Amino acid sequence: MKEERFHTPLFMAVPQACLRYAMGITMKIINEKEGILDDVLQGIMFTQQGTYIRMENEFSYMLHRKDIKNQKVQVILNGGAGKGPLFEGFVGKGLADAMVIGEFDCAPNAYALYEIGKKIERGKGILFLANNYSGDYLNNDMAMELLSAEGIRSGLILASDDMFSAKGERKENRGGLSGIGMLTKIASEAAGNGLSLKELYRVTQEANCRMRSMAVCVSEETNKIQIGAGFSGEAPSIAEDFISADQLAETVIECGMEELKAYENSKIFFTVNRMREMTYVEGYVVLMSMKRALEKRGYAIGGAAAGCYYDAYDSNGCIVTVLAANAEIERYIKTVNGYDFTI
Amino acid sequence: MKRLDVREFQKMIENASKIIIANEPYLTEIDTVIGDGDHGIGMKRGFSALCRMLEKQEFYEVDSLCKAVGIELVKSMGGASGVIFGTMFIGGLSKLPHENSCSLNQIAAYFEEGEKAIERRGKAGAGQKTMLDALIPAVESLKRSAGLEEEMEGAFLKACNAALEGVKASECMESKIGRSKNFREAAIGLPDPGAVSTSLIFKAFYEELIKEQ
Repeated sequence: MKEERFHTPLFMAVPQACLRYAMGITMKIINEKEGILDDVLQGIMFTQQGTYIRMENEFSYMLHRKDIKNQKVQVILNGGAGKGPLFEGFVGKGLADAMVIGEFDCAPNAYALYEIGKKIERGKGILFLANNYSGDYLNNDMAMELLSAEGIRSGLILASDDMFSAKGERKENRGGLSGIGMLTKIASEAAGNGLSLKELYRVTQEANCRMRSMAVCVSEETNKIQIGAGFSGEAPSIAEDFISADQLAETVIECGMEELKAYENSKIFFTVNRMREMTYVEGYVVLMSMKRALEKRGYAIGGAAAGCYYDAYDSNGCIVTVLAANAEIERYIKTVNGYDFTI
Repeated sequence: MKRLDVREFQKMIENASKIIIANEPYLTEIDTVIGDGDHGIGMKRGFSALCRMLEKQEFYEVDSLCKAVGIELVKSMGGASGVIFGTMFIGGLSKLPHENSCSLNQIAAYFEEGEKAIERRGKAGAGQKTMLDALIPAVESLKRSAGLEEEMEGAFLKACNAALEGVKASECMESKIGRSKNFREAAIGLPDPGAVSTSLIFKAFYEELIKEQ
């Protein structure tokens, strides 16, 4: 059989670091395991009262904006739970119209995606956004089929920004990391501008193609910077002795921009997504090191952010996401107020 | 037995649920090495929900039973396994009669359609170290038995054995899809957890079928 046949967007998430929440490997301050995700959704709703509506479902956790707008494509972000704020915290103005999470590290089921899609659709269709893992692909694909049977049009963007998950292979074979946060914002803004489903799909997919993320872990034991380690223990692609944040940024930018060469004249937007052990201070230090590394190479920077959006790695370090935006994409990157998602 | 009665079929599926639940530790163990370690957990969640449903509800037509089973699995499991094992039961519904029993021919056609639906949606095929490596031989065996007009019991025994052989064959395969492809070397020598689950389902079908006599 030819290998060609198997170039499929099939990955399976192995975020065992996150499974620990569910399985109790690491001590966590929680109550009964069954109630964790309910508490997350109820907590979000309690702290931002009047903003969300929760859709009850026995096996999934769903939120949508209370103020669903007419005459636009609705954006539904979804994925496995346990990496907040992605995905639970990415619903609202300038962000997704709805989100669905499954159990910890488990894609939400197709019927839940279908039900919420049916509920919030307002005549212009649905755009599903998920990371490129097999469970996410399969459930979104099935949900689209279920919606289509009822005459509702939908599209699916599978974020594939994780550069090292299949380096050297086609982008469709790669998984997704925190880049989906930026895609959510772009899709939301573009949908708000009245783009048709087809146009919205095109713009968001273009942004996906122009985006790369790299997980950078710093190990105290070995005093090394490790780039490209998978969150289920896949070996890192690059390991070098740790010297400084500047050196870290240099290495990351060298790697990331190598693949984005084709988009040389674009504006660069980047985020420093802190891992669990990285502090607020370190986040901004790395951000400024990145800025210098990019400017030194002559890139124009459109915007940057440092924060904890995708909480997947139980280590020190960050996930750096770089987007080389064209003028069209740039138009849809707006600041989201009231949150730390500043680009 | 020439025809499979809906009550019988329901009991077979119920037995499959119990066997899957009982095997959760083993499924988790192999998936921890070659996958993401949650195949067993997802399967247990799904088949526990299925078991509860089947205990509460009685079905009168084989297609209604299989539809409800598939939907319950997709809903309760989520993840890749939910769609894959759900599709195993939903994919071939059009091949089943809206009646209280079905023939071996219909059963074989039903599982064959389900298997093809999994291939289509998963964009996968034989030899990639997936559950298909157990399901495809089981389906082929059912079709052969149907062609020879065998009894239901013998057909399910052969299908179960074919699935088990498929599991064995998956041990030396290299993962090409799924997260386990990132653990290609570690995966060699271990069977695919999805294939193991598939063989357990067929084994449970057969054991329940002969228990009834």
